[in-house]
Amino acid sequence: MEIEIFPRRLLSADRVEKILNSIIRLGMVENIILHGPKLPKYVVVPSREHPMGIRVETGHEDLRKIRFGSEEVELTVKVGRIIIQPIKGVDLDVFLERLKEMCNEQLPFGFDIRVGQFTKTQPTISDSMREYLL
Amino acid sequence: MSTYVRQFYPGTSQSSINRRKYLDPKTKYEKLRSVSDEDLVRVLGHRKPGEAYKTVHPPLEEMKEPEDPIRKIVEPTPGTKAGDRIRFVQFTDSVYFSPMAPYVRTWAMYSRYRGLDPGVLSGRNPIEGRERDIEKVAKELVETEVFDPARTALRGYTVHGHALRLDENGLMFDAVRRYTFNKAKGVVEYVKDQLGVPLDKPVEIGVPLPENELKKRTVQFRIDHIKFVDDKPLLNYIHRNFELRCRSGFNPEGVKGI
Repeated sequence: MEIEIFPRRLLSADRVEKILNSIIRLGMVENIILHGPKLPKYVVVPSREHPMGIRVETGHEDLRKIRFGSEEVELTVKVGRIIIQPIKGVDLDVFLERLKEMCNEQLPFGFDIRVGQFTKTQPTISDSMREYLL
Repeated sequence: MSTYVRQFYPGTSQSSINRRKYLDPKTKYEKLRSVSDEDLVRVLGHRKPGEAYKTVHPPLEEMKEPEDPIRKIVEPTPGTKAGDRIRFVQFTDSVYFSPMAPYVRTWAMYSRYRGLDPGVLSGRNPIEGRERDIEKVAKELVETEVFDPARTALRGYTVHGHALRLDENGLMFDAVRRYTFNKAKGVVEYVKDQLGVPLDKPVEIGVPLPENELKKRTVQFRIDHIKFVDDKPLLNYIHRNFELRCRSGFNPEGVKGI
Protein backbone atom coordinates (compact mmCIF):
# COMPACT_ATOMS: atom_id res chain seq x y z
CA MET A 1 0.00 0.00 0.00
CA GLU A 2 1.31 3.43 -0.92
CA ILE A 3 0.32 7.03 -0.17
CA GLU A 4 0.35 9.76 -2.81
CA ILE A 5 0.55 13.44 -1.95
CA PHE A 6 -0.61 15.51 -4.92
CA PRO A 7 -0.01 19.25 -4.33
CA ARG A 8 -2.19 21.70 -6.28
CA ARG A 9 0.97 23.51 -7.43
CA LEU A 10 4.38 22.37 -8.62
CA LEU A 11 6.89 22.51 -5.76
CA SER A 12 10.16 24.43 -5.56
CA ALA A 13 13.36 22.77 -4.36
CA ASP A 14 13.21 24.59 -1.00
CA ARG A 15 9.74 23.34 -0.21
CA VAL A 16 10.57 19.81 -1.37
CA GLU A 17 13.53 19.81 1.01
CA LYS A 18 11.35 20.92 3.93
CA ILE A 19 8.50 18.52 3.24
CA LEU A 20 10.77 15.51 2.73
CA ASN A 21 12.57 16.08 6.01
CA SER A 22 9.22 16.46 7.82
CA ILE A 23 8.04 13.14 6.35
CA ILE A 24 11.24 11.38 7.45
CA ARG A 25 10.87 12.79 10.95
CA LEU A 26 7.56 10.94 11.33
CA GLY A 27 9.63 7.73 11.34
CA MET A 28 7.06 5.65 9.46
CA VAL A 29 8.52 5.72 5.96
CA GLU A 30 10.46 3.09 4.09
CA ASN A 31 10.77 4.77 0.68
CA ILE A 32 9.86 8.08 -0.97
CA ILE A 33 9.50 8.63 -4.73
CA LEU A 34 9.49 12.13 -6.20
CA HIS A 35 7.60 12.35 -9.47
CA GLY A 36 7.22 15.19 -11.97
CA PRO A 37 8.48 16.64 -15.24
CA LYS A 38 12.22 16.53 -15.70
CA LEU A 39 14.08 19.79 -15.11
CA PRO A 40 15.98 20.75 -18.28
CA LYS A 41 19.77 20.88 -17.98
CA TYR A 42 19.82 23.25 -20.92
CA VAL A 43 17.33 25.15 -23.08
CA VAL A 44 17.90 26.34 -26.65
CA VAL A 45 16.75 29.95 -26.98
CA PRO A 46 17.05 32.46 -29.84
CA SER A 47 19.90 34.92 -29.87
CA ARG A 48 20.51 37.91 -32.12
CA GLU A 49 24.22 38.03 -31.25
CA HIS A 50 25.05 34.42 -32.10
CA PRO A 51 25.71 33.70 -35.81
CA MET A 52 23.52 30.58 -35.69
CA GLY A 53 20.63 32.60 -34.26
CA ILE A 54 20.34 30.32 -31.24
CA ARG A 55 22.11 29.95 -27.93
CA VAL A 56 22.13 27.34 -25.18
CA GLU A 57 20.99 28.45 -21.76
CA THR A 58 21.94 26.33 -18.77
CA GLY A 59 21.00 26.30 -15.12
CA HIS A 60 17.61 26.13 -13.46
CA GLU A 61 16.93 27.46 -9.98
CA ASP A 62 15.48 24.12 -8.84
CA LEU A 63 18.22 22.00 -10.42
CA ARG A 64 20.35 21.65 -7.29
CA LYS A 65 21.25 19.31 -4.45
CA ILE A 66 18.76 19.02 -1.61
CA ARG A 67 19.51 17.86 1.93
CA PHE A 68 17.59 14.63 2.45
CA GLY A 69 18.00 13.37 6.03
CA SER A 70 21.72 13.07 6.59
CA GLU A 71 22.77 13.06 2.94
CA GLU A 72 22.56 15.23 -0.14
CA VAL A 73 20.52 14.16 -3.16
CA GLU A 74 20.43 15.80 -6.57
CA LEU A 75 16.94 16.97 -7.53
CA THR A 76 16.30 16.26 -11.22
CA VAL A 77 12.53 16.79 -11.47
CA LYS A 78 10.03 19.58 -10.80
CA VAL A 79 8.10 17.79 -8.08
CA GLY A 80 4.42 17.28 -8.83
CA ARG A 81 3.72 14.09 -6.86
CA ILE A 82 5.25 12.50 -3.77
CA ILE A 83 4.70 8.75 -3.43
CA ILE A 84 5.36 7.34 0.02
CA GLN A 85 5.84 3.65 0.83
CA PRO A 86 5.26 3.19 4.60
CA ILE A 87 7.06 0.68 6.77
CA LYS A 88 5.16 -2.61 7.05
CA GLY A 89 2.89 -2.82 10.08
CA VAL A 90 2.45 0.95 10.45
CA ASP A 91 -1.03 2.09 11.49
CA LEU A 92 -2.15 3.72 8.22
CA ASP A 93 -4.87 5.87 9.79
CA VAL A 94 -2.43 7.46 12.27
CA PHE A 95 0.15 7.96 9.53
CA LEU A 96 -2.38 9.60 7.21
CA GLU A 97 -3.59 11.92 9.94
CA ARG A 98 -0.05 13.07 10.71
CA LEU A 99 0.72 13.50 7.01
CA LYS A 100 -2.41 15.63 6.56
CA GLU A 101 -1.45 17.83 9.53
CA MET A 102 2.03 18.26 8.08
CA CYS A 103 0.70 19.02 4.58
CA ASN A 104 -1.79 21.57 5.95
CA GLU A 105 1.15 23.48 7.39
CA GLN A 106 3.52 23.17 4.48
CA LEU A 107 1.26 23.20 1.43
CA PRO A 108 -0.93 26.30 1.91
CA PHE A 109 -2.17 26.21 -1.71
CA GLY A 110 -3.93 22.85 -1.24
CA PHE A 111 -3.23 19.18 -1.85
CA ASP A 112 -4.87 15.78 -2.29
CA ILE A 113 -3.86 12.61 -0.44
CA ARG A 114 -4.76 9.19 -1.82
CA VAL A 115 -4.04 5.65 -0.69
CA GLY A 116 -3.44 2.99 -3.31
CA GLN A 117 -0.82 1.34 -5.49
CA PHE A 118 0.98 3.97 -7.56
CA THR A 119 4.07 2.03 -8.70
CA LYS A 120 4.33 -1.19 -10.65
CA THR A 121 4.32 -4.42 -8.70
CA GLN A 122 5.34 -6.58 -11.65
CA PRO A 123 6.87 -5.80 -15.07
CA THR A 124 4.51 -4.97 -17.94
CA ILE A 125 4.91 -6.29 -21.50
CA SER A 126 6.86 -3.14 -22.48
CA ASP A 127 9.16 -3.60 -19.50
CA SER A 128 9.80 -7.21 -20.53
CA MET A 129 10.52 -6.08 -24.11
CA ARG A 130 12.99 -3.48 -22.86
CA GLU A 131 14.69 -6.13 -20.76
CA TYR A 132 14.87 -8.44 -23.80
CA LEU A 133 16.23 -5.69 -26.07
CA LEU A 134 18.87 -4.57 -23.63
CA MET B 1 -39.06 47.09 -38.95
CA SER B 2 -37.41 47.27 -35.54
CA THR B 3 -33.76 48.24 -35.20
CA TYR B 4 -31.36 45.41 -34.78
CA VAL B 5 -29.80 45.41 -31.30
CA ARG B 6 -26.58 43.48 -31.21
CA GLN B 7 -26.43 40.65 -28.68
CA PHE B 8 -23.10 39.42 -27.37
CA TYR B 9 -23.40 36.32 -25.23
CA PRO B 10 -26.24 34.44 -23.49
CA GLY B 11 -26.29 33.32 -19.87
CA THR B 12 -26.71 34.65 -16.36
CA SER B 13 -23.57 33.33 -14.57
CA GLN B 14 -20.68 35.63 -13.66
CA SER B 15 -18.51 34.18 -16.46
CA SER B 16 -21.25 34.91 -19.02
CA ILE B 17 -21.67 38.45 -17.67
CA ASN B 18 -17.90 38.99 -17.95
CA ARG B 19 -17.93 37.67 -21.51
CA ARG B 20 -20.67 40.11 -22.46
CA LYS B 21 -18.76 42.94 -20.81
CA TYR B 22 -15.48 42.16 -22.55
CA LEU B 23 -17.13 41.72 -25.95
CA ASP B 24 -19.24 44.88 -25.84
CA PRO B 25 -17.26 47.76 -27.38
CA LYS B 26 -19.34 50.28 -25.43
CA THR B 27 -17.80 49.18 -22.10
CA LYS B 28 -14.23 50.19 -21.33
CA TYR B 29 -11.75 47.75 -19.83
CA GLU B 30 -10.81 48.68 -16.28
CA LYS B 31 -7.19 49.80 -16.06
CA LEU B 32 -5.29 47.92 -13.35
CA ARG B 33 -1.61 48.61 -14.06
CA SER B 34 0.55 50.80 -16.19
CA VAL B 35 3.41 49.74 -18.43
CA SER B 36 5.36 52.43 -20.25
CA ASP B 37 5.40 52.48 -24.06
CA GLU B 38 9.14 51.91 -24.04
CA ASP B 39 8.90 48.84 -21.80
CA LEU B 40 6.11 47.36 -23.89
CA VAL B 41 8.14 47.84 -27.09
CA ARG B 42 11.03 46.03 -25.44
CA VAL B 43 8.84 43.09 -24.38
CA LEU B 44 7.28 42.82 -27.84
CA GLY B 45 10.76 42.75 -29.39
CA HIS B 46 9.78 44.10 -32.84
CA ARG B 47 11.98 47.19 -32.74
CA LYS B 48 14.27 48.99 -30.32
CA PRO B 49 12.63 51.72 -28.20
CA GLY B 50 12.75 55.04 -30.04
CA GLU B 51 13.62 53.39 -33.36
CA ALA B 52 11.55 54.44 -36.38
CA TYR B 53 8.95 52.01 -37.72
CA LYS B 54 10.19 50.02 -40.70
CA THR B 55 7.88 50.15 -43.68
CA VAL B 56 6.92 47.79 -46.47
CA HIS B 57 5.37 50.44 -48.71
CA PRO B 58 5.27 54.24 -48.90
CA PRO B 59 2.53 56.06 -46.95
CA LEU B 60 -0.88 55.64 -48.58
CA GLU B 61 -1.13 59.41 -49.26
CA GLU B 62 1.94 59.23 -51.49
CA MET B 63 0.74 56.14 -53.32
CA LYS B 64 -1.60 56.47 -56.23
CA GLU B 65 -4.28 53.93 -55.46
CA PRO B 66 -6.85 52.89 -58.04
CA GLU B 67 -10.36 54.35 -57.81
CA ASP B 68 -12.44 52.21 -55.51
CA PRO B 69 -15.64 53.13 -53.61
CA ILE B 70 -14.69 50.84 -50.71
CA ARG B 71 -11.46 52.79 -50.14
CA LYS B 72 -13.62 55.89 -49.60
CA ILE B 73 -15.90 54.16 -47.10
CA VAL B 74 -13.26 52.34 -45.00
CA GLU B 75 -10.68 54.54 -43.36
CA PRO B 76 -7.28 52.83 -43.08
CA THR B 77 -5.75 52.30 -39.61
CA PRO B 78 -2.75 54.50 -38.61
CA GLY B 79 -0.34 51.60 -39.25
CA THR B 80 -1.74 51.02 -42.73
CA LYS B 81 -1.63 54.73 -43.57
CA ALA B 82 2.07 54.81 -42.69
CA GLY B 83 2.86 51.51 -44.46
CA ASP B 84 4.14 49.60 -41.38
CA ARG B 85 5.32 46.02 -41.41
CA ILE B 86 2.99 43.22 -40.27
CA ARG B 87 3.98 42.12 -36.75
CA PHE B 88 2.29 40.01 -34.11
CA VAL B 89 1.67 39.71 -30.40
CA GLN B 90 0.71 36.38 -28.87
CA PHE B 91 -1.05 35.72 -25.58
CA THR B 92 -1.20 32.48 -23.62
CA ASP B 93 -3.99 32.02 -21.07
CA SER B 94 -3.74 29.57 -18.21
CA VAL B 95 -6.74 27.36 -17.48
CA TYR B 96 -6.44 28.40 -13.82
CA PHE B 97 -8.81 31.40 -13.85
CA SER B 98 -6.99 33.52 -16.38
CA PRO B 99 -9.17 36.63 -16.93
CA MET B 100 -9.46 35.92 -20.66
CA ALA B 101 -9.57 32.85 -22.87
CA PRO B 102 -8.26 32.77 -26.47
CA TYR B 103 -11.72 32.39 -27.98
CA VAL B 104 -13.23 35.31 -26.07
CA ARG B 105 -10.25 37.56 -26.77
CA THR B 106 -10.60 36.81 -30.48
CA TRP B 107 -14.31 37.69 -30.41
CA ALA B 108 -13.42 40.87 -28.52
CA MET B 109 -10.78 41.72 -31.15
CA TYR B 110 -13.39 41.46 -33.90
CA SER B 111 -15.93 43.55 -32.02
CA ARG B 112 -13.61 46.25 -30.62
CA TYR B 113 -10.73 46.86 -33.04
CA ARG B 114 -10.12 47.25 -36.75
CA GLY B 115 -7.36 46.07 -39.04
CA LEU B 116 -6.25 43.10 -36.94
CA ASP B 117 -6.09 39.40 -37.69
CA PRO B 118 -6.54 37.35 -34.50
CA GLY B 119 -5.97 33.61 -34.52
CA VAL B 120 -7.38 31.25 -31.95
CA LEU B 121 -5.92 28.01 -30.65
CA SER B 122 -6.55 26.01 -27.49
CA GLY B 123 -4.04 27.81 -25.33
CA ARG B 124 -2.73 30.72 -27.35
CA ASN B 125 -4.02 33.69 -29.21
CA PRO B 126 -1.81 35.31 -31.86
CA ILE B 127 -2.89 38.75 -33.08
CA GLU B 128 -1.39 40.03 -36.33
CA GLY B 129 -1.54 43.55 -37.68
CA ARG B 130 0.43 46.63 -38.62
CA GLU B 131 3.22 47.35 -36.13
CA ARG B 132 1.88 50.52 -34.51
CA ASP B 133 -1.65 49.12 -34.36
CA ILE B 134 -0.33 46.02 -32.60
CA GLU B 135 1.56 48.15 -30.07
CA LYS B 136 -1.56 50.16 -29.30
CA VAL B 137 -3.74 47.08 -28.85
CA ALA B 138 -1.10 45.21 -26.84
CA LYS B 139 -0.83 48.17 -24.46
CA GLU B 140 -4.56 48.19 -23.85
CA LEU B 141 -4.71 44.42 -23.41
CA VAL B 142 -1.74 44.30 -21.01
CA GLU B 143 -2.67 47.26 -18.83
CA THR B 144 -6.30 46.36 -18.21
CA GLU B 145 -8.40 43.77 -16.40
CA VAL B 146 -8.21 41.28 -19.28
CA PHE B 147 -4.58 40.51 -18.41
CA ASP B 148 -3.05 39.01 -15.31
CA PRO B 149 0.77 39.02 -15.06
CA ALA B 150 0.86 35.51 -13.56
CA ARG B 151 -1.90 33.67 -15.48
CA THR B 152 -1.60 35.38 -18.87
CA ALA B 153 1.67 35.66 -20.74
CA LEU B 154 3.15 37.29 -23.81
CA ARG B 155 4.80 34.49 -25.75
CA GLY B 156 5.91 34.58 -29.34
CA TYR B 157 6.65 30.85 -29.43
CA THR B 158 6.93 27.82 -27.05
CA VAL B 159 3.56 28.57 -25.55
CA HIS B 160 3.23 25.17 -23.84
CA GLY B 161 2.10 25.48 -20.22
CA HIS B 162 -1.47 26.76 -20.19
CA ALA B 163 -2.87 23.48 -18.83
CA LEU B 164 -0.06 22.68 -16.39
CA ARG B 165 -0.20 23.21 -12.67
CA LEU B 166 1.07 26.62 -11.59
CA ASP B 167 4.29 27.02 -9.67
CA GLU B 168 4.39 28.05 -5.99
CA ASN B 169 4.18 31.74 -6.79
CA GLY B 170 1.12 31.18 -8.97
CA LEU B 171 3.03 31.67 -12.23
CA MET B 172 2.18 29.70 -15.36
CA PHE B 173 4.90 27.33 -16.59
CA ASP B 174 7.16 28.70 -19.32
CA ALA B 175 9.94 26.51 -20.76
CA VAL B 176 11.84 29.56 -22.06
CA ARG B 177 11.56 31.30 -18.64
CA ARG B 178 10.70 34.70 -20.05
CA TYR B 179 9.37 36.00 -16.76
CA THR B 180 10.15 35.56 -13.08
CA PHE B 181 8.45 36.47 -9.84
CA ASN B 182 10.31 39.15 -7.89
CA LYS B 183 9.56 38.13 -4.30
CA ALA B 184 10.98 41.33 -2.78
CA LYS B 185 8.72 43.59 -4.85
CA GLY B 186 5.87 41.10 -5.35
CA VAL B 187 5.76 41.76 -9.09
CA VAL B 188 6.20 39.72 -12.24
CA GLU B 189 9.23 40.77 -14.28
CA TYR B 190 9.94 39.96 -17.89
CA VAL B 191 13.64 39.14 -18.31
CA LYS B 192 13.26 38.17 -21.98
CA ASP B 193 11.10 39.58 -24.74
CA GLN B 194 8.22 37.54 -26.16
CA LEU B 195 10.63 35.86 -28.60
CA GLY B 196 12.98 34.72 -25.81
CA VAL B 197 15.77 37.25 -26.46
CA PRO B 198 17.19 38.48 -23.12
CA LEU B 199 16.40 42.10 -22.19
CA ASP B 200 19.04 44.59 -20.98
CA LYS B 201 17.07 45.20 -17.78
CA PRO B 202 13.93 43.46 -16.46
CA VAL B 203 10.54 44.93 -17.31
CA GLU B 204 8.02 45.04 -14.46
CA ILE B 205 4.59 44.07 -15.75
CA GLY B 206 2.66 44.20 -12.50
CA VAL B 207 1.38 42.53 -9.35
CA PRO B 208 -0.54 39.27 -9.91
CA LEU B 209 -4.21 39.48 -8.97
CA PRO B 210 -5.35 37.50 -5.91
CA GLU B 211 -7.25 34.26 -6.50
CA ASN B 212 -10.70 35.61 -5.44
CA GLU B 213 -10.30 38.64 -7.72
CA LEU B 214 -9.38 36.38 -10.65
CA LYS B 215 -12.44 34.22 -10.01
CA LYS B 216 -14.60 37.35 -10.22
CA ARG B 217 -13.07 38.55 -13.48
CA THR B 218 -12.57 35.29 -15.38
CA VAL B 219 -14.54 34.28 -18.45
CA GLN B 220 -13.79 30.61 -17.91
CA PHE B 221 -16.20 27.90 -16.82
CA ARG B 222 -14.64 25.32 -14.54
CA ILE B 223 -15.92 22.37 -12.55
CA ASP B 224 -14.43 23.83 -9.35
CA HIS B 225 -15.88 27.31 -9.87
CA ILE B 226 -18.81 28.13 -12.16
CA LYS B 227 -19.98 25.05 -14.03
CA PHE B 228 -21.10 25.46 -17.63
CA VAL B 229 -24.10 23.20 -17.02
CA ASP B 230 -25.29 25.34 -14.08
CA ASP B 231 -25.92 28.31 -16.38
CA LYS B 232 -29.32 27.16 -17.67
CA PRO B 233 -30.10 30.05 -20.11
CA LEU B 234 -26.69 29.53 -21.74
CA LEU B 235 -27.20 25.78 -21.93
CA ASN B 236 -30.69 26.23 -23.42
CA TYR B 237 -29.28 28.56 -26.08
CA ILE B 238 -26.59 26.02 -27.04
CA HIS B 239 -29.16 23.20 -27.11
CA ARG B 240 -31.46 25.26 -29.31
CA ASN B 241 -28.61 25.96 -31.72
CA PHE B 242 -27.84 22.24 -31.95
CA GLU B 243 -31.48 21.36 -32.45
CA LEU B 244 -32.00 23.93 -35.20
CA ARG B 245 -28.88 22.80 -36.99
CA CYS B 246 -29.69 19.10 -36.73
CA ARG B 247 -33.37 19.32 -37.67
CA SER B 248 -33.36 22.00 -40.32
CA GLY B 249 -29.78 22.07 -41.55
CA PHE B 250 -29.38 24.60 -44.33
CA ASN B 251 -33.11 24.81 -44.99
CA PRO B 252 -34.48 28.02 -43.39
CA GLU B 253 -38.07 26.83 -43.93
CA GLY B 254 -37.43 23.87 -41.63
CA VAL B 255 -36.91 26.16 -38.64
CA LYS B 256 -40.60 27.04 -38.52
CA GLY B 257 -42.35 25.56 -35.52
CA ILE B 258 -39.20 24.38 -33.71
